[in-house]
Amino acid sequence: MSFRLTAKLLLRSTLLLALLSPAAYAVPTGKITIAVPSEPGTLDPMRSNNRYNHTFNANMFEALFVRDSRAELVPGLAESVNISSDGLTYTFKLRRGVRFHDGSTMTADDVKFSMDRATNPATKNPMASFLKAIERVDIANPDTIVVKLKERDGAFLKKLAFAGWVIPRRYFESVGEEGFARRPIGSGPFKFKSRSINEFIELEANELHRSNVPKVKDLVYRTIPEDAVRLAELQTGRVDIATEMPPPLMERIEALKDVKAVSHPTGAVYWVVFNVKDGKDNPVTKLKVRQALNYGIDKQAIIKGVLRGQATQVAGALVPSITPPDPTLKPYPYDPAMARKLLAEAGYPNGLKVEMYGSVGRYTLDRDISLAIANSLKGIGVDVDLKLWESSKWVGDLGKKYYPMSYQEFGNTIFDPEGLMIFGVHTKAFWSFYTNPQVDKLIDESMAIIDTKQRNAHFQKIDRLLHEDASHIFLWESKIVMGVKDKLNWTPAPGDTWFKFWDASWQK
Amino acid sequence: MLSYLLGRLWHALLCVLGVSVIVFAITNLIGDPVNLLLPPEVSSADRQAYREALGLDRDPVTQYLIFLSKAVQGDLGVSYRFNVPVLELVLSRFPATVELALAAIVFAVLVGMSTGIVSAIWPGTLVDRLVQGVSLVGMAAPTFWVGIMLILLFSVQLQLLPTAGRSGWSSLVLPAITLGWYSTAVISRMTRSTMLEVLDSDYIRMSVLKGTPRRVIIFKHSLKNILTTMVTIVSLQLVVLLAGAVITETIFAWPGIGRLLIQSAGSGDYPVVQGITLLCSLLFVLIDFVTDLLYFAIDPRIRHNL
Amino acid sequence: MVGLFVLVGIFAPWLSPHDPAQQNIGNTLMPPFWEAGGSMAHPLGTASLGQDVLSGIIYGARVSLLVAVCAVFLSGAFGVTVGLLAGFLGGWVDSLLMRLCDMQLSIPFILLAIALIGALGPSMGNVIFVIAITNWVSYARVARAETRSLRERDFVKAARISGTGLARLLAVHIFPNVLNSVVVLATLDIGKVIIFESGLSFLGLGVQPPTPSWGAMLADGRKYVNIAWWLSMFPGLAIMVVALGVNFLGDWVRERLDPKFLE
Repeated sequence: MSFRLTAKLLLRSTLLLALLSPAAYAVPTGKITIAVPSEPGTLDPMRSNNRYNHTFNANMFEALFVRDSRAELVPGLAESVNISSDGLTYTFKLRRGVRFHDGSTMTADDVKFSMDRATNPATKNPMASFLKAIERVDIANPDTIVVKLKERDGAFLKKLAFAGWVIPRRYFESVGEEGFARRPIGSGPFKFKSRSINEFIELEANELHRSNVPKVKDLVYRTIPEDAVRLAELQTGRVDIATEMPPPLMERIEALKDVKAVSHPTGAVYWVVFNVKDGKDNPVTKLKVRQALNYGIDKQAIIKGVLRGQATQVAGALVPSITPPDPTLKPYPYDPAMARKLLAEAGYPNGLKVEMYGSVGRYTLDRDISLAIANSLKGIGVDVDLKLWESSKWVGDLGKKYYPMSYQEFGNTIFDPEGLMIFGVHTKAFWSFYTNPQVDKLIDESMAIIDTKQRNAHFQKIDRLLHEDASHIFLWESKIVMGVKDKLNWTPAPGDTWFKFWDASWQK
Repeated sequence: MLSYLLGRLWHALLCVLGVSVIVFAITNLIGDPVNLLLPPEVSSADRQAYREALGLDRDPVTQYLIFLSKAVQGDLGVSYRFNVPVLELVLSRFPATVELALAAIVFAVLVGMSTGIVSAIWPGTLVDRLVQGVSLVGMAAPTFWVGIMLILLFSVQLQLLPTAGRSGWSSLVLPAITLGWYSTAVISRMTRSTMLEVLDSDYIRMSVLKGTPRRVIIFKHSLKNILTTMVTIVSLQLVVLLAGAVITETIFAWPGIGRLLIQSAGSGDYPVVQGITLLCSLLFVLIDFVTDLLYFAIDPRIRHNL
Repeated sequence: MVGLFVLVGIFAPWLSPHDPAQQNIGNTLMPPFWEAGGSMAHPLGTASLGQDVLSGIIYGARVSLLVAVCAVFLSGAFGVTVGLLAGFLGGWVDSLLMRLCDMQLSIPFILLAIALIGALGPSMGNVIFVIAITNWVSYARVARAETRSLRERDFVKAARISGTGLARLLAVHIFPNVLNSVVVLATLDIGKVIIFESGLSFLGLGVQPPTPSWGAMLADGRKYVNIAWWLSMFPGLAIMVVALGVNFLGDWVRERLDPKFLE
């Protein structure tokens, strides 16, 4: 063609494209620096072994279904899903035109590869148990992925949103696992920029994202273990967000000039776990003793005095910010008289001695809380032999050594009560030491229920049973205290600690 | 002399070997890292599979031999937590600690020696008493307390220096002072006492009688004599510094070896723990060696004794 | 000064206004009596569970005293024995024992502490054990050096010729002469050990609550240093003052026993 014709064609097509393309996103600008006390190990989403991985997974990767910045479950890499009537076949219609951070386009092959890798025992994926219902993943056609389950799983989509991350096959196979750990590539709103282990992790906005291009260009996570130093950095303005601050510092943070103190429900519940499984004739195997202990701790005083109000008492196993508990089920009140009465009925009129194992440095103020609990129980004649062990020793021995009572946290994973039930209550759970065949059966049955309202009702039933059996000493759902710059528009959804930053922005 | 050096080398190698055995034994003693490496959601069966995949189910002796055979080839294994080779990980954190230690030593030597000399030249005066007092306090103050106080004062109140992290020269100041504090005090006192001894010696008295100017006496004659002692002290302090580095690095969020060590020990990342210890002992042995060489260079008497 | 420290340690229960472990969660993090919000009931303020800081300091003296004395004694005993044997017997025994020393020195003390306390659990006994294990080398070296020079002295040679057994030789002839330098080292060491112990507590490896220890109080206080400076200041001061005092004592001892400073 002649030159002039080519030029005209070019001009016209450019104009056409400019008119047809969707409203351009605002170019991301600015930086958010967040100070965290610890960091993930490898950033490979299928080797996530640490709770700090989850915020990176949520920002850098996507799954067939994802959680948006309000923590709502929404379609992600899949446009829609069709669940067969027997609940065993999930047919996902894949979205077209999804680009990975390296520019390549996502295909069904990448999805199958990722799911297979995640469930393959050779991968050693710590989150593999969330996907254990999967029997096989097939590509029906370039736009459709079919997942066949071994058994019904009512929370399957939620589990996908937590552990079903998709990574590019070609890239992974060319750099290998170690290469991928050094420079991970996904399709999420943020892409990996750089990392200095023990120092910082930098992410930057992914401008190729179809719908969630971040408003902020750079995201820097700085690892600063000392609480006082995180506060100092916040004070001097060198960080914009400081997380996991000790509750007594809340006032101080609020008093800082351009910073607001944020109290964020974590969706994590704290219990004193009874080892009923291996107990033999330990007092805690008796129902009345467990109930007495529940009545005998002044939980409200501890929440007020030690946690400065940064917790909400729970009645059982349903976490308020995630699943509405049955409003007629009230938490155990502080009733020393009742506690003593129960102890006497159980055969301990003069009190009893029991061991409790607490960690130091694993959970916020864990040591202080363990001490306060032991102190409270003294008031009803229970002499607690408190063993406080440094975090790694405590964890290492958990499940191996007999802990009649232990102060533990169970975090939120899939925004569904099943998570807590499976990992904290069921007989088969690794870090749970409670056993009740009736409860186990009900938990197993819950897997088959897909409708949300029915699930909630079912779990409320289980909750009541646990409450009446005093399966644990039910303490509270915790809140973490953060300092956030006033000018930063960012509010994480309650119960969501995998902080998502693509909707965060700076006020002018 | 060559045979002496070779002997020292052999001695050093045995030392490192011994350390590797001890460290291996210790990390095995701490126990099973699997619970530390995996979150609560992993089942018992999966944990066992993980254990086997990491080779932790074999007996300790086999594990040690495997470790040793790989180590001599330069392969220190792969970090359980970060999934990158241990050698690469440790070497990437090394410069930060070296930077910190060097800065601390430089600070300690400069301030320590100068205050020690000043104190020795004017014994019994107010200056001397002040220096002695401060150095005593310096030896008694715990590192972490000093660190936190410094942060509060210089960073928060006065806003003069950055608080945490490694970001250029200004961020090195507070950590270096915190780490070097104790050594400064020690060096100051040692310099003072050694200097006093030397100033008291016949050789110096002769110089005074001969009429040599004071400055020459101090700087040329005395200093040379105290150098041997100083070298000993400094090398000993380097050892102290590494221990103190763990605490300083934790407080100031300094991304060095010390922090990596304590973090890895606490999270079950034993290959990294073993790697760091091995490299550290190699380093100490090296420092020892270099100190010996320095003795040769400085003190002719040692050379002759051989 | 040191006398005061020892006295406070021994008579702690009578001196202390409160039980240091007594909690008072209605009154946590109270400031010292001279600040707003403070009271004379808790003159130096309270800690995160309402424990009285002054009582903590008084009782903490006991712990520091006990740990320091025991650890120094143990490491001294072990180190001196090693040094005596190495210095006297020489040859392969000497070689072996010196290698042991070097190996010990190459391992970062922190690592050994983490590992051992991790395996054995934190308790006063284990803390003493760990400090003793990492601290014995300097005693060994000093003892060895002294022994070697003493070995050549006439009275020793005479005893050997007359057939005195090894143990008796070491105990009666050599040891008393080595004692001087060792005592100097020991007194200086007490201060160092007190700081070691506080460092261990700082890392979470030391004496556990409710037993109060200055190091542990410091470690706790560091979270709150922006809002409750008294939690860090007073234990820190206590450690400093005692270490200072002990160092003075050491200097004094050295001057009395050892005119020429050996190191």
